[in-house]
Amino acid sequence: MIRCSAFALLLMIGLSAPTVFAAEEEASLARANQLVDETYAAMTAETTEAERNDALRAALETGFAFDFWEKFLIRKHKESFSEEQLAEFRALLPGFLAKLYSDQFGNGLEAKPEIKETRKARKDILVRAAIPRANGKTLPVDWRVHDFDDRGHLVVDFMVGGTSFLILKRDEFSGLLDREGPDGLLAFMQANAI
Amino acid sequence: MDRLSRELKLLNRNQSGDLADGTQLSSMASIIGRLVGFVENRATIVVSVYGIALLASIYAATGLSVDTDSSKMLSPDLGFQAKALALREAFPDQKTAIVIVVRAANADAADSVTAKLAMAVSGKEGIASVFAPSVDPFFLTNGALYLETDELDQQLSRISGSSNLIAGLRSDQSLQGFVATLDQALSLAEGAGETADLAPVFAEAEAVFRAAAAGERRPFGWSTVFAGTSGPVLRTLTVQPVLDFTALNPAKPALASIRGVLAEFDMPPGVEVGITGDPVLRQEELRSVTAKIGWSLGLSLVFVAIVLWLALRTMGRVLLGLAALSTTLILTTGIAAVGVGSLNLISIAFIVLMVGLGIDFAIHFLAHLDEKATRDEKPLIAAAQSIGPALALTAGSTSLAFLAFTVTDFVGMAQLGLIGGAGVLIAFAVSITFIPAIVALRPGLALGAPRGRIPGGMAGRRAMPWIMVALGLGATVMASESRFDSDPMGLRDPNAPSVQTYNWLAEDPDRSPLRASVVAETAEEADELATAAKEIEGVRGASWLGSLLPDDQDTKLELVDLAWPSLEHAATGTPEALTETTAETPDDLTARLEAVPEGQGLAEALRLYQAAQDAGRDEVLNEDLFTYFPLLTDRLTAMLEMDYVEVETLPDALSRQFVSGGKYRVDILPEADIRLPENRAVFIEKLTTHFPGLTGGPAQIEGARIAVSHAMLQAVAIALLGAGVLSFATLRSVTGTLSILIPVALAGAVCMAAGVLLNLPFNYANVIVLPLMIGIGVDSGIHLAMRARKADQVFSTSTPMATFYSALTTIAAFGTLGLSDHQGTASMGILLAIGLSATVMMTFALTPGLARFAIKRS
Repeated sequence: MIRCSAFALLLMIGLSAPTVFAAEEEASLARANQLVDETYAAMTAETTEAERNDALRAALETGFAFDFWEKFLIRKHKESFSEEQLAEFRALLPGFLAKLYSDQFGNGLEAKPEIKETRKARKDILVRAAIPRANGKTLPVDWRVHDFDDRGHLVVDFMVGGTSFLILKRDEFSGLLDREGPDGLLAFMQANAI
Repeated sequence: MDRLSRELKLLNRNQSGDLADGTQLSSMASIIGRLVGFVENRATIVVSVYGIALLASIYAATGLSVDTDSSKMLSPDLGFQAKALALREAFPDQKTAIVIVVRAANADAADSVTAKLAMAVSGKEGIASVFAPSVDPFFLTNGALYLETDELDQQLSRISGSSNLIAGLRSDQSLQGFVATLDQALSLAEGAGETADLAPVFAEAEAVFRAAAAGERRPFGWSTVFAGTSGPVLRTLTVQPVLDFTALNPAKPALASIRGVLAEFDMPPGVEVGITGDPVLRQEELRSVTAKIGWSLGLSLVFVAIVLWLALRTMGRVLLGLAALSTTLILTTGIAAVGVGSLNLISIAFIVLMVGLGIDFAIHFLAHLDEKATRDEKPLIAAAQSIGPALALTAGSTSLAFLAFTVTDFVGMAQLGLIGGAGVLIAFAVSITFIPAIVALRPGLALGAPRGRIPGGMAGRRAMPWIMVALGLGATVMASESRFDSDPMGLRDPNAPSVQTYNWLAEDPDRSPLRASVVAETAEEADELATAAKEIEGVRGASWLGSLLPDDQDTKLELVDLAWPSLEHAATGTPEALTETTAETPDDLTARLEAVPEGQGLAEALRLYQAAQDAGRDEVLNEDLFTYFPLLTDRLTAMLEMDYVEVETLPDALSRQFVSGGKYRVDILPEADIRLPENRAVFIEKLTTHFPGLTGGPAQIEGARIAVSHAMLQAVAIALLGAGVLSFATLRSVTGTLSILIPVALAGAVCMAAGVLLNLPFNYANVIVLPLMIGIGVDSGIHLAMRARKADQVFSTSTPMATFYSALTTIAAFGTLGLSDHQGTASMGILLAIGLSATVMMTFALTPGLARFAIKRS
């Protein structure tokens, strides 16, 4: 009897694993599609630049987990921030990432990015998208989507050719913080945010 | 009163006779005279008995073995020995492990060789297991968790930024692929304004291209670039042998297998491999002890023959002396085989020591025989009565010196003492039975040419006593600086490969084999002990099973999670064409590199290479670029599975070094180089204050230092006391006794001063020097003092000549031990030779005069 129960349990675990992954995959795909739709719409909208930037920023605010980005971007230096500086950092971050996103993927954007595939990356899902370029080629981008339970699935990183933008920017921020402190970083973000 | 007694009285009246006038000595002379008379009458039987004894001894000697375990040199009842034994029983791997050490110019070369060696050695005859941390699957996967958090962060950042570069190289491992991938990476870095990030790749590539241009081999160090490691590195493979306890060295099959693998291994340039660990050190120590002992023995026999000829001047007596010596050696070896069964690394030297000591009795007897042969009808009995008591006394004093260590805790030296003591008594017995028996059968041997002379300057010079006293007093000052080196490594041949390999490890503060240990009953106790140890000054680190778990794992795994897609792309992903790549040859890349500051060196190297390029060179370069690349991708692939490390997931080979049989070992690493005695003493003293149960190598060495120093003082005191009692019993005079002991004491000071000057500290092997010097030195003193009491011109008798030549044989024989590669044996030989030379000089210069002074006073 015990043996039968154990077998049944193992079978259930085995069968449920792909199901869980499929649900994760579906939610991640939905998040990526939403992000692609909204950011593409924002970047290609025939409105003023300010309105496009606001739309792009709003799209990222919906799809990105900024607290996750903050955690890694200023990990080692967080204690050197005052409350006011931290508040300013949080205020600037969406605009900074929106500018980064626009610079990386907005220039020469010929058509709406195409979602290609998903794959597991430890606790997260990577959603591969191909961004059409003006030269006829596509730029492969991986959205890293994490399940935040009650907050749903949110983007925590994006990668091109395996290079993590979160790590890339973290290194850049670390250098700035080491050299110029929080004020230097905030000034830099101010100059590079929309 | 029988015939012998009458002869004894006659001899007592003889001015040139040696016999002392004490009643006990007269009785002894009488007994020895009767014995020799008995032997003379039954010479054939005596020789036959010797023949049988020799055959039996040769048979017994075939079973003699050697135990190389130096930890058995001291009594197991000593506190530190008991603790060491308990540790060894609980954690036997430490004592039996063979350590293969790979030393290379960079991590890639070291890891490559380590991985290949691990594969080659595993499964070979005598190999139970191989644990190579740097290429072990557990550490390949989780090793990065053992880095500091910031270091791990930097490493992951480097890999993330280069993941497409790595993926590109993985997909095209050719020179063209390398150039194209580097070109693309440069384009991207230029676009992002981050060309400085490529500096490590450029620097490494520059070195490879420059070497290729010069026709040299220089494999690309991928770990240097991406793991941030640079400079020479050590890697270890810990091999647990299948122990064959029927063999002299139980790990011999494993060692043979490892040496076989190394002999056939195609070692890349810049990589050295050595093997060490207790079984290897012991095997090579035995080899160093035994390698030249045959030479020492042969050479000492040649020296003895020459000295015999100088002393006796007839071939017959020289041969008789050598026959007596051979008989002594064989019988002593037989006694050793029956008595102890297994020699140790010190007692194995008995064979050479006995050459020097065994011949002494024969020389004295034959010299007296020579002297008596021309004057007495019964020269054998006359010689026996004349020299027999002195020989008996000197045999007693030398035996006592040897046996002095038997009452100490130094059981290793006690074994040499037992064999040496027995050997001296055998030599005495041979001189008063075997030699007379042969002479009785061949009386012609008793007649010889005029005896040899002692060299001019040894005697009769008025200034000599004062010079010797001055020398002795000067040496006494310097002798106070002599020290005892208790580290067994100090005994070993410094050129032995296992010792050199041991030093590779000892020079690395984090890998030093000299570590202290404390055993705890519970994990909690082990944790507390390790925490407490870390607080002690001079402790570099303390670890227990719990410390094997990486700290800050949650943060580190978050960082790994963050970089995981980059790792995956580098390890298994398809490279993305992120730029328009144009460079296909080194020349194409050169122009682009010249435009960035970090690329100047590589551009220059590429130009040099282009100038020297040919197809063969391209092929070699291609190989050098990618030789170690698979190590990088294998490591990245393994890292994808990195996960939380718990005690249960640790490799068994690692955890059993820290937990075994329910006991937990705390490993304490010193900050200073504790190969230096003063550092070691301070380290152990501080730890012992906190941890009474402290054990491990350094604690054992310190314990041994105290025990052996104590044993040496005990042995010297016993030898001095014995020598004093024997001298007093012989001379019945305090001044006369001092006439023997003062020269010996001064010679002891000269020997100690010589040790200071020649940087030959006392060690496990040579601590016997002082007691033995006393024993042997007193012999010469007794002979000369006894003669001096009877003859005003002592240097005109046979005694100084016999004393001088017997001392010369001893010095020559002991001196040949100096040939040994084993520092303990060699220092024992050198110090004994110096000490005995000093003894002869002191005794000749001081004893006759002091003895005559004592007689005049009385």
